[in-house]
Amino acid sequence: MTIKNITLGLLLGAMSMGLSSCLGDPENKSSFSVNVSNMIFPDNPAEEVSVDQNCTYNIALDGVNNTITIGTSTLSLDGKNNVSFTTNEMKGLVASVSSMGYQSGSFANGQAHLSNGEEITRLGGYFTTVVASYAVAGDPFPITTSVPMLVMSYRTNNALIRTFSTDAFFQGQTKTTYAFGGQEQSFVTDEAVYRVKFSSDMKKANVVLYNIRFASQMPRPLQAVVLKDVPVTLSRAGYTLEISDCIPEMLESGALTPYPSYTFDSFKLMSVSDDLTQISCEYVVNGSFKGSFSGRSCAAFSAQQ
Amino acid sequence: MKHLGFHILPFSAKIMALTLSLTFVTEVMAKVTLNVNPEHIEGVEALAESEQLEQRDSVPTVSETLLDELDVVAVKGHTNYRQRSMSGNHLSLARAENLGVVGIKGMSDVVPNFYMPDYGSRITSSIYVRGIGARMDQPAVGLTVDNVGIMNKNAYDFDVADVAYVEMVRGPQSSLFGRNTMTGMINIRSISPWDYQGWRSTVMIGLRSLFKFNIGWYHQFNDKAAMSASGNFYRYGGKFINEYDDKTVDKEVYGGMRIKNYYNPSDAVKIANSFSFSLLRQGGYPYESVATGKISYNDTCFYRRFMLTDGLTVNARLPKNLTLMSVTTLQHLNDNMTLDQDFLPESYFTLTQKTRETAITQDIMLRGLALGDTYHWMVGAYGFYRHQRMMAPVTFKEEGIERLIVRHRNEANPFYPIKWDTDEMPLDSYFSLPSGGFAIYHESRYDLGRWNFAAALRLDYERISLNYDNYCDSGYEMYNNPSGLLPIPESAQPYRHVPVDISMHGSLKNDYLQFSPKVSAIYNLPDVTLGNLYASIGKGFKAGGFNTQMFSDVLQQKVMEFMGLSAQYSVEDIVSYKPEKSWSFEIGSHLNFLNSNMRVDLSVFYIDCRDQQLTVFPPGETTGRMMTNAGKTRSVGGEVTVDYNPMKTLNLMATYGFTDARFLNYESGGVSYKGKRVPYAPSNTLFLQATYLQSVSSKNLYFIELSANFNGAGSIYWNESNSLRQNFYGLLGINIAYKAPKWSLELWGNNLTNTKYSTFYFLSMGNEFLQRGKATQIGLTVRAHF
Repeated sequence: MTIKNITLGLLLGAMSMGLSSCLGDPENKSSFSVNVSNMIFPDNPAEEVSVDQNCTYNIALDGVNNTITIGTSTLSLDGKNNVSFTTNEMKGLVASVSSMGYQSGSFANGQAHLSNGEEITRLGGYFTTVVASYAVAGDPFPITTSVPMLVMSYRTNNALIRTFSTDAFFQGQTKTTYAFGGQEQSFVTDEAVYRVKFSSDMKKANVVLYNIRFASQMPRPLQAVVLKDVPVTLSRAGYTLEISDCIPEMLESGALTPYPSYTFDSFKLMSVSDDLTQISCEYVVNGSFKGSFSGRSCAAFSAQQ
Repeated sequence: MKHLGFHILPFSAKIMALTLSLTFVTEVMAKVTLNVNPEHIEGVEALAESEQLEQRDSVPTVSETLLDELDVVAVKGHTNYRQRSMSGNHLSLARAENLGVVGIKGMSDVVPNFYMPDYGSRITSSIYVRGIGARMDQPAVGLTVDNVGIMNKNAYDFDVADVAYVEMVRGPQSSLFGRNTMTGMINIRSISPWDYQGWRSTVMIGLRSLFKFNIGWYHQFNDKAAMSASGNFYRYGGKFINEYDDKTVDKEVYGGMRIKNYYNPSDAVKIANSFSFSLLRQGGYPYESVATGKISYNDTCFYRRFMLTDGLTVNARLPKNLTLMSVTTLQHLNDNMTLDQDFLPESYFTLTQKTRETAITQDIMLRGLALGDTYHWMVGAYGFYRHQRMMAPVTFKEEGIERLIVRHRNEANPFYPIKWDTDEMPLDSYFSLPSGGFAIYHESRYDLGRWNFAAALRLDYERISLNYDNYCDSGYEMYNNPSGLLPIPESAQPYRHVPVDISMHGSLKNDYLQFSPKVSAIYNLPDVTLGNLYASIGKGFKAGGFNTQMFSDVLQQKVMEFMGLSAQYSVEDIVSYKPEKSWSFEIGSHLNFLNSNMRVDLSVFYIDCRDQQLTVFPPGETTGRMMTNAGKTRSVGGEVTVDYNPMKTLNLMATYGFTDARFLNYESGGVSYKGKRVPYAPSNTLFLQATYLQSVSSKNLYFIELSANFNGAGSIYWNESNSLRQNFYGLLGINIAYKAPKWSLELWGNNLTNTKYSTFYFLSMGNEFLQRGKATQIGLTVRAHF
């Protein structure tokens, strides 16, 4: 199955196109929830970057007045207690294309009062409920519900908060170089999808390379190549995953089979944008294929089993 | 018929017995029921034959009007093509017998720019006309036999025992005949009992156990009713040897029967019904490996077929110069093609394709005159329903599983290698393809002095469906092999069992609307006996559909998915294809010289073909195929036919066709073939024949006929890259006949120089294969009529 490639440009274009369809519609009010994680960057450099997983943001849309309101009651800044906030009605772009069943929007200049007394300022970002389908029979980590995408940042009194998905899919361009027939060859593909699924303690992640080909001579792409338990490092730049001599497991008839002959001699993946939506990745497979990838986050997927 | 011991006879004997018995029974029944006294005049037969020799290639003389009124092709204005804006060729009874033409394949030797290579089996009806054609699925040329338009290309290759007339017109005929007549029409008429009464029989023997027997009975009861029954039997021992088992591969046994009934209840109403059936059992597929120069494969190949057709024609002359005609046909096909798909002595895979198809068609047309007979018009409506069921299992065998699946999988992961559970893995496929369509059409022709202008228009709507069920139930054992050594050592431990359980079903539907116009103009030269000049522009189309053979690729994708490889495209992507369309531009002439003793037909053409139906490898793929409308082709060329009787006893005939057909746009596997020649279509065709008749009796009742012919084709490219080709080749034939009033004896030979040539080339799993053309054949034919 191929993936519907939703790029940011397409997303914004769809938002602007859809705008006219919802203006003036008195019925155009809706709300939905997004379950994302928050990466917390303390202003104090001595404090470590942390992650608050499983935070639910509620997004209320008013297509008549073109306002967006965002709130949550499950934000945990200290890893122990939940706090809540609801923003003011932010003026923003709202696109709602009911015929296609998705909504998208962007917002800025949000503010709120946190229940712990702190202030939320400079809240801004974008969202989409676009759901692309990506199905792999016997997927090692099947998704059962669709998850909208929310890219948002805001400040509290002493930290910068950025939302991100702990189960994110990235699409972009993979380049490999290898020797074949006594000559160095290169191969480029944009068909592969990279998935990063963090563990609950954010110390490790499973990385899946879907639909990947390392050389043009490979007759078919591999459905899923899984690197399990890749160590994660959080930093002010975001996150980094790195491992060496990793034996991948490949999807075969609905189960994972180790493939020692495709050992990843080295693998390093990093977030490379402030909003944590873009990554780059480099790896060497079996001492023969040198690969690199750069891509951006796709809208979340619901797998159809 | 078990009580007659029929069941113990070999198949060939069954066919012969059935043919003879039915023919005799028919005659007996007719005499008993109608109590008719047939007339037969001695000497008339010989005179009729000599008249036919003198009018060698004219349209059949007797009952021409009757034939025209009961022939749908004629009613739609294709008789006489020399008076129409189209190029064509025909064979009379005499020439068809001289050349041994009993069906469509025989025309390939004579008609310019028409090529139907003889390879594979009778299911293979690849036809190329003016560089346009196809190896698979929809044909580019229509075929009617006694008003029955044959719908399935797999049924095109059959023998007509009593060919009276065969004609082929070139150029798009879709404006009147609709689907799959993009490059022309072939019309075969069998002998009518209105033209001939009595018995006709033929016995032919030749090298390699060639035996052919035809018999026909033709009877006119009175001026209202007539009937004919004919049967044919053909057996060929084969030439090509499969060196794997030392058996002949291209043996064949064929038999058939045709019964025609005519009834004219009044002067204004004519009814005709033609019923036929045939049985075929054939080996076929003598594909020779280019690497070894041998035919050698271990699994069986054969083709079996049962065909049945019935066509009911009703023609009514109405007041005010109106003619109403209805043609209703029923066709049934039941065949089985089984192949050693790899054509190698190893057991890779086999294929079986069993088809059962029934089709009903109805064509109704109204024809009239106006404006003082200067304006001719016709309107018509056509409908059809066709239902095809197919079972097409592909079985992977031991070597196929090991070398194509297991070996590659184990090389990729020797630490967890696999062993397949069984020696065979069948991939079962079941299909049903119902389709139906409706069309309306119109033609106007206007005579203005020496000019004739014509315009025709047809609108076709067609809806096709494909319901598919594909299954595979197999599996393999995976082992944990820490050493990574292969073959799997004894020390390797079972890791897990992997079931390969594929169940794939669904439906696809498509519908098409096609609009086919055609305009033409004819200028009759001031001396009408000189002939005419013409020009025409017309659109043709081949129907869209679903290519079920692609499902083997779909199932391979599914198996690969089980092995962890992604599918590249969906079922609809690779099996569905849209109609192919063409625009054809032609100018030509039909000329007569020397008091019509020399007839010269010339034509030049340009064809622009779009959405060509091709199989391609998707970009970046080196395995797996897609059926797609990927091609644009242009074809330019010309044809000439010369038929010359310098004296009453000598006929010289020559036909030549030249075609330059190239891809304007065609990409496969990321490679562009723009500018390359279209493969499988010859750039030149040539036919030469000289026939001399010498009387050996004072009353001109006994003759010796000497005839020599030469036919050739080429060059033919075998692939899109044009890296391989068959150069032009020619075959020499001779026919020496002694003709008496009621019988004739012929000694004949084909390919007397034993020219070596190839008729087909293909690649399979990286192996190259060729089929060689037929070697020298010599035989003896005895004909009798009484």
